[in-house]
Amino acid sequence: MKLTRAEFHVLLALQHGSRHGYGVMQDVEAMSEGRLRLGPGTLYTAIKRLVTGGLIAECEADAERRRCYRLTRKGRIVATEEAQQLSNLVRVARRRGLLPTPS
Amino acid sequence: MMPERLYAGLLALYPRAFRETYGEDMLDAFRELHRTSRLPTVSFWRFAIADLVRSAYQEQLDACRSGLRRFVLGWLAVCALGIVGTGLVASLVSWTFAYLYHPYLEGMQLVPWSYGAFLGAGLGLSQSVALRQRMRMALAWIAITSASAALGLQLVALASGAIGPVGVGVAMGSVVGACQWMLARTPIRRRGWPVLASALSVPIAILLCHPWIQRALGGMNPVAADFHATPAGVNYGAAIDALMRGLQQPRGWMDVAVEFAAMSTCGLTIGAITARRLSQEHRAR
Repeated sequence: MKLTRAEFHVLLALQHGSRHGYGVMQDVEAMSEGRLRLGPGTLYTAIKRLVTGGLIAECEADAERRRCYRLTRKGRIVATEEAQQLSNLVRVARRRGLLPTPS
Repeated sequence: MMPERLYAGLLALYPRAFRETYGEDMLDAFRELHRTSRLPTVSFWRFAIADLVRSAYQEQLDACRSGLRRFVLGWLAVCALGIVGTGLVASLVSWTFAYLYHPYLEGMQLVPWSYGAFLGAGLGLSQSVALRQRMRMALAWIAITSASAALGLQLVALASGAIGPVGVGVAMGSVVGACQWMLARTPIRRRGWPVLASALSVPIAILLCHPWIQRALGGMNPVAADFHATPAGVNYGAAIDALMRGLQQPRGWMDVAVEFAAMSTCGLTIGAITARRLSQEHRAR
């Protein structure tokens, strides 16, 4: 399954446990240091696609009866593969001088 | 409260299924976002609306590509093309008969209901193929479509002068659509009854209406036997006259256009009436 940028960030946000929609939005903004801000529309479009693909699943609602989501096993595998691909790309970019080599 | 209401209203841009599943959660997320946002009002709304429009467009596109929306669009196309195609076949057959002229055909008269029955049979056949119905159901479907189209065309002939070709299409489509809708919502085991009822009701209705039609039309039949001209003195209404001429043997592009307008409107009306009911069956499968 080809992931969009927003979908990958949602998977990353759920890596450390279940979250409700707004929690995911906050996490994504924090992770990207404010560079990526998901609106409710983009977030729930991504959530719908990830739930349909079996990458995330709904879990029990929290105290405020908000629906929560958690990463599935399949979701973890797909997220790992995507991260690996991005890591390979970063390595190539470093080799070609697009990114500085870490000291 | 006001921004929430506005956002809740804008959620109508999403397909219903998406809205029903995620609408509440989206509203919750928006509420939190609005409460905690440090953006100026204009920037906040620009962000929220751009996000909403972009994702709603994506969801609408997805809905069209898959499932129910695709079925409904396909169904409307089948209904419109089915009846237009049958009309064109009717024109071709009539041209052939006119070409192979025989004195035996002299004096033969075609009334709207017989044409309606033919159109209905063609439409019912194309619909049942599209629905992949089993033989028994397909026969019932074709029979009821043919019977209701016969009745529909005969009835709209009365008012055709006043309502024009599109009105003819809508009125005839409403009669056929209503009959198909009733058949579709009848439990499968009892579907013989509506078919039998419609098969009986058409001749009865025509018999009952016939004196009225005759009086209204000054005792004339609408379509001449020689397929070329309506007899002088027939005043059946310009629209049905052109429509019947267009169906049988168009004299020019105007007749074809009238036929196309009436038949495609009729098909779309039928499709619009029956789509919802049939899409429920489609989903259940």
